[in-house]
Amino acid sequence: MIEAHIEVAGYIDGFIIRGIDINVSNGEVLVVTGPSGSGKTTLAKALTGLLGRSGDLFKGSILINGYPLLEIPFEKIYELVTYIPQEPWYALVGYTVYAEHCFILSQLGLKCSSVFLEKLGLAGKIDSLTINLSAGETQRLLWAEALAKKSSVLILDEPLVYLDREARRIVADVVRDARDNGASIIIIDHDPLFWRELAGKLLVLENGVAKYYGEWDTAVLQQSYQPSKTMRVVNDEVAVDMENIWFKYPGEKPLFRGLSLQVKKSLITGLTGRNGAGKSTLLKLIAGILKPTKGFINRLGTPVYIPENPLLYFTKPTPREELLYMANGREEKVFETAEIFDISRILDTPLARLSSGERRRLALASAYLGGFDIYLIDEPTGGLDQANASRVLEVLLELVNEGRTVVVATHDERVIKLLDYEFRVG
Amino acid sequence: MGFISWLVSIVYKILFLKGDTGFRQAHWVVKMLHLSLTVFILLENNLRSLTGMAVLSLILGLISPGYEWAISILALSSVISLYMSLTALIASIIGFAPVDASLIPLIAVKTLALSVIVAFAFMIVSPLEISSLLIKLGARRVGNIPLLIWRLMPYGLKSFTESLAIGYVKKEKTLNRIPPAVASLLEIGGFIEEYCFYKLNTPAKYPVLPVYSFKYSIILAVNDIIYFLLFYTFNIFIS
Repeated sequence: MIEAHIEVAGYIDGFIIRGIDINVSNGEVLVVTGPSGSGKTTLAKALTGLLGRSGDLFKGSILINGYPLLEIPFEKIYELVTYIPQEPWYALVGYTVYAEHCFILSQLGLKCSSVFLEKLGLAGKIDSLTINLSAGETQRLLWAEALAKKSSVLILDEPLVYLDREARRIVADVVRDARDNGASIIIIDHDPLFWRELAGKLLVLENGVAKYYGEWDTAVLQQSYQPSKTMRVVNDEVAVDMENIWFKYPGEKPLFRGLSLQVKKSLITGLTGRNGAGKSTLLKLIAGILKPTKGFINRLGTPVYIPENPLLYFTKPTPREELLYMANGREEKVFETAEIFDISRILDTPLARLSSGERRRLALASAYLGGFDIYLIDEPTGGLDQANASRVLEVLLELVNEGRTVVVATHDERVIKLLDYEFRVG
Repeated sequence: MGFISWLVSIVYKILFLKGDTGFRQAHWVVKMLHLSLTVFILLENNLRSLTGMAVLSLILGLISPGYEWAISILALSSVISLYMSLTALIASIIGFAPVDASLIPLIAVKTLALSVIVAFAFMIVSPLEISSLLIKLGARRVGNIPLLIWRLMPYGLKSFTESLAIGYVKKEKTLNRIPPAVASLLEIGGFIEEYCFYKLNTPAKYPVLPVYSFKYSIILAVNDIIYFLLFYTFNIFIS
């Protein structure tokens, strides 16, 4: 059981959440939702005790099975609580799947076994370097750890965002089993309706406070506007021409053998497929971030690439400086764009203090200001709530209507519905 | 951008091409013997024995991790040996150091050989073995450090070069892109420290060793026996 009474928690001189009181009993699921930047991940960090320990702000109490969290030894917390963060690549210690998984098991005093890796479809990746795993495979690895740990408290921050359909089904089953075995589960998800059959309680956050907390109630969840696909005249002009592409990462088997693809101008093309199929890699090849070992790629116009981890995209340390830089100093364009992407209130927040969704929107805003011809975006709506996802999708549609080309790698059904062309990778 | 990414790519292929496969799976006893032989050869500092060991190391490296590793180590070693021999030559010409010009090629060969030998010796050591050793010595709390270092080094390299490449695509100058690329690494470090807090502060209960391979243990052992017989027992190549 987990009980939290949070007076205030967050970052000194930064964003805070306040007045949150929640109680999740054994065998109960609480779904937490809210707009991007509303405090969901801050809440997760507070519940795991990370805020208090890292010197950030925390006033209140967290009780795990009746014991104050800050008085429980680290090793015991590690055993009792499993936290799967929104950005899974930051949560690994091991250099290979085997090293990561078996070392975790050794920390728990368990014998090394690949049973949980097999359940999550990672049996064939046991010798792989963890830096070569896709985001979805990394998330699966963390899920395998969660299964092995059998923690009594699970805190899951956007647990599905990088997973393909099959993996989502597996994870939903895992959560159901954990709940039935008495775990207290807190799930943060921009798409709370996915969990409606499992959820007992609902917490809706807005600007750091609880807008709603109580029994699950679908009526509380606002149905935001969703952009719809517009008919577009398909022209034959090709923005990206890839022919006979071969590519392999160093030390790995070839990922693409003789792949050919043409991306038509002024359309939204989607790269879809299972985890590890090569969607992000293909996007990087199109962008020129990676070079093929064979074959050629022709691009009509200047591309821009926004990675899955948008932190790698930025040039300046704050949103204001980043947008001014891309707008060549034109302040009016900066404010206009900030409004479009709903980032006006965070213009002076350091990048590291932004939420994952805010970073993603900022990267898109920056690229939007750049006036590029080809937009290559990895998971453009990853972790975004419906309202912000709609803003992003509206902008992508606008770009295409202006004659630009957009290529996205995505698992998100909201994006897939709007694609003009879908290319299944792998 | 070109030179930096080439250099990073070479270092990556030499150090982080594969996980615990190939000769990393040789049994730790066989590896200890190989490393002892390596240290002995380095201390002996005989050009012929160094060259012989380098050739054998390169052949083993071709078996595993493979040609990518072998080509990369040759490329980097060549750069280092060229640097060493050129500096010796310049020092000799300007009278700074009394180096006989006829020795310059020998300096190049010796540097090349040393680089290959050290790189191979370094490559076969598994971070899991270092971690296990720390745990067995009682330092259970730092047993995860070798694993973390081996994850973070290539992760940092990859993130750094990706950030530079993104900047290149955005038509930014490489030099201007280096500060934000480094800043992103620092921020990544902060996130890892935060999200892995409990993982890093929980000691392992027992050591975890890599899965050992009889095949690679035998090949490495036979290699060392052949080397020892050729260069020391029969004194064929040692003058």
